Amino acid sequence: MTVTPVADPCVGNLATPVNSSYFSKAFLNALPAYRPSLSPNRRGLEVGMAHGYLLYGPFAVTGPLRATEYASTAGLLAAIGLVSILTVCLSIYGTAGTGPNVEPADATIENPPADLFTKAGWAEFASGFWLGGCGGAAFAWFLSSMALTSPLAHLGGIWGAS
Amino acid sequence: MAHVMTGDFAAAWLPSVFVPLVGIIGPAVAMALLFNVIEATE
Repeated sequence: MTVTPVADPCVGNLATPVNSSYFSKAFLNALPAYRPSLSPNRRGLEVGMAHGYLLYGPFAVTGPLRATEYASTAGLLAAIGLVSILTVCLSIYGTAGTGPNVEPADATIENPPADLFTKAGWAEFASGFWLGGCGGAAFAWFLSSMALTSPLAHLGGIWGAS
Repeated sequence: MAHVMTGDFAAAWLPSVFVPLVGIIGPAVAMALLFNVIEATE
């Protein structure tokens, strides 16, 4: 467990196991936001897929229509609605002021993707996010209603995405 | 009681248009515009 200054010891910037251990760096640099040589649109697609897939469940299982036969449809529409709201938030972030600014390289991310943190790049990211989000939610909806995999959505018998 | 989410007054469908409009769409548009105002640099 070594803690060393990143560069100038007089500057309070430390390299600790949390921000610069092999696992932290490997994991964070592999995320779609930082993985090298991906286009901003492709990054948004992957981030959106993960979020869309995640958002379907809570809406379908605990949503207001959970006890009806429309639970899964309502869950899908709600997830797509939230993905659309998130996309609007992403895109107004990209248009505000002078646009996103490139985060400086630090102990964890040696070369952050410069093309992502521009106005055009961020807009591409946001549109990829929307597409990925709808795709992820639709995939989760499809899995939870297809006969082959719907038992997985009903584990424990307590409740399930019907 | 009739279908719960309606009334027997004139144009009883209007609340189901204006409640989401005033409660969700309006705030979203206002927040987006004000965000651009407060984050403007020039």
